[in-house]
Amino acid sequence: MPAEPPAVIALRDLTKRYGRTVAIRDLSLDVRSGEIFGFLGLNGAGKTTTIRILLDLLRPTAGRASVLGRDCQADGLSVRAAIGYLPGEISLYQDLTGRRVLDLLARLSSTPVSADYQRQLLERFELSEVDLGRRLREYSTGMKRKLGIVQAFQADPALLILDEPTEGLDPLMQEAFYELLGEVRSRGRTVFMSSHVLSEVERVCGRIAVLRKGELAVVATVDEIRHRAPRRVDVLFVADVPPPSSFPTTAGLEVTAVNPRCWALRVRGPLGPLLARLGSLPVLDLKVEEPKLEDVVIDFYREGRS
Amino acid sequence: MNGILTLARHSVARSRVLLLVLTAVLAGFEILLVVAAQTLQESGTFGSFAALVPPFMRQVFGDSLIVFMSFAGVVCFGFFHPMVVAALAAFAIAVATEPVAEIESRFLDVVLARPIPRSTVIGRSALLMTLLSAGVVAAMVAATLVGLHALTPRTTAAPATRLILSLAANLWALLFSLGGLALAVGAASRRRSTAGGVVGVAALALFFVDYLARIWKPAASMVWLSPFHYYDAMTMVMGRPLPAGHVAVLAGSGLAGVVLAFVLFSRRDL
Repeated sequence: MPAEPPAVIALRDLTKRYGRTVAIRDLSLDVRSGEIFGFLGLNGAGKTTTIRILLDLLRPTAGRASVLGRDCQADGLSVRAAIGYLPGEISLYQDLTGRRVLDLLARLSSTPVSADYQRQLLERFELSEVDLGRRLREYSTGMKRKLGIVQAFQADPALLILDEPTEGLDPLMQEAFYELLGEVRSRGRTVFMSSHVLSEVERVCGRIAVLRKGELAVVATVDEIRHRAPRRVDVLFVADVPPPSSFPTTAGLEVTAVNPRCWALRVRGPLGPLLARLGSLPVLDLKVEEPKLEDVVIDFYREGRS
Repeated sequence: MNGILTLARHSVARSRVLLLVLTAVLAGFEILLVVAAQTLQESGTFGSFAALVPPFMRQVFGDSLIVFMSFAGVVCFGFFHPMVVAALAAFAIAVATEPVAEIESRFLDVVLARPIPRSTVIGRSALLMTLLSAGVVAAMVAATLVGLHALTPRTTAAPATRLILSLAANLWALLFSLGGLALAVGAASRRRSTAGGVVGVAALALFFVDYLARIWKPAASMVWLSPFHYYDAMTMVMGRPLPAGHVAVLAGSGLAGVVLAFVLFSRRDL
């Protein structure tokens, strides 16, 4: 069995309090090298607080956060030398041009920014030199987001921390962004991203963590979480059949709608018991819909609210 | 150091218009005062002004009021005119509260997400607060000296360059003291308006304490708290040399503010 890649991010019993308010409590989590890790939660769940502790913008009340084995607070400079960060709301001075922003932030990086790589990023996100010569006050939300992505990626850091990265991007630019994520992952970079877009998380992330009121509700691969949800199964019949009186008592099967020629069910686990029951009925077709990440994650959110 | 210079260049570039306008206005005001002093001197108005001063004003301000009503007094007034001092103090406070503005706007999030120590941000603002206020005061000195060279009446003795430099040094020390206080308050605040407001109101109150102390004895016991107490420009115009002790108090309090700002900023949540 191959050894697990080393943890790029390690959180141990991380807690942050503001007076009596607990922003995050006893958060322990590992993000491994080369993975794209989704960090999910409702607004105020503690995602941004965690990210800001990783960047040493906030100091934890208790516990420890480390990146590449180095403590984020005690050894913050070397930690941040390995990070590219895209904030949820990128705040840059409106009187600066895009070019000046990129140059300023490149000069503040410890790793030299490759002009070639920066140009590739700009081309990928369709930011021309004319665009870069304009002041940010003339930029649309999407253009600012693209500039934010370029500044985060331009030094080609080992770890990318991205807070709602595709917010404000049009579908084509979202595609460009997903392609970029795939490329950086193939080069061994690690991505830690928070997102509200569950379809996006399902598409790009290998593992996710769901944060609920500052506490970790679940950490698992996207597949593991998806398979916690029941599959939706529609059974179509060639002739009218009586309602399935015995189904609700069968483990893992739940009837959600019944018509004479169609039953809608939710099935947890294997389909065998259902198929066995259907064997004596005039089945025309079976439609099995794979469970979605959204179904499970939204349940986690709801449990937290209740 | 590279980070400090990069951020300092960025800050200067952003505030260059304000900086240039302030420098031009204050340097122009110095020239204007020299022109006014020349006009008053040549028309012989100074003598009649002095005769018009009511006795109670003489009691409050002493001989300094008479000295003020002279060619040298008017020329030097530019270095302690309340509006000039207020404008320079506001400028020093604005420069010193840049870190809190950057926290408020979240610009620091992208800066400090890079391997930049927090001390760089405070170091940049301390450097700019020191150098830019010195630069504006130096421009005032240059304008005064140029004005004096061109406009001093032949029969009149121009104020000594040493006096002008002493006033400028003491004024700069006052600005450094207020700037240091603003830097420290800003380093612990979440909003620039709060930090600037607190320091601005405190400066105004301390300014009045200094004045009040001259006419109301109870206030005299508190006057040592006022940085304006350590900038007694009129006594310098009357011939007293630059009080090194006063400059040391102002520079020391400014430095204490800068050190406190480094400590507070390094410990806080951003």
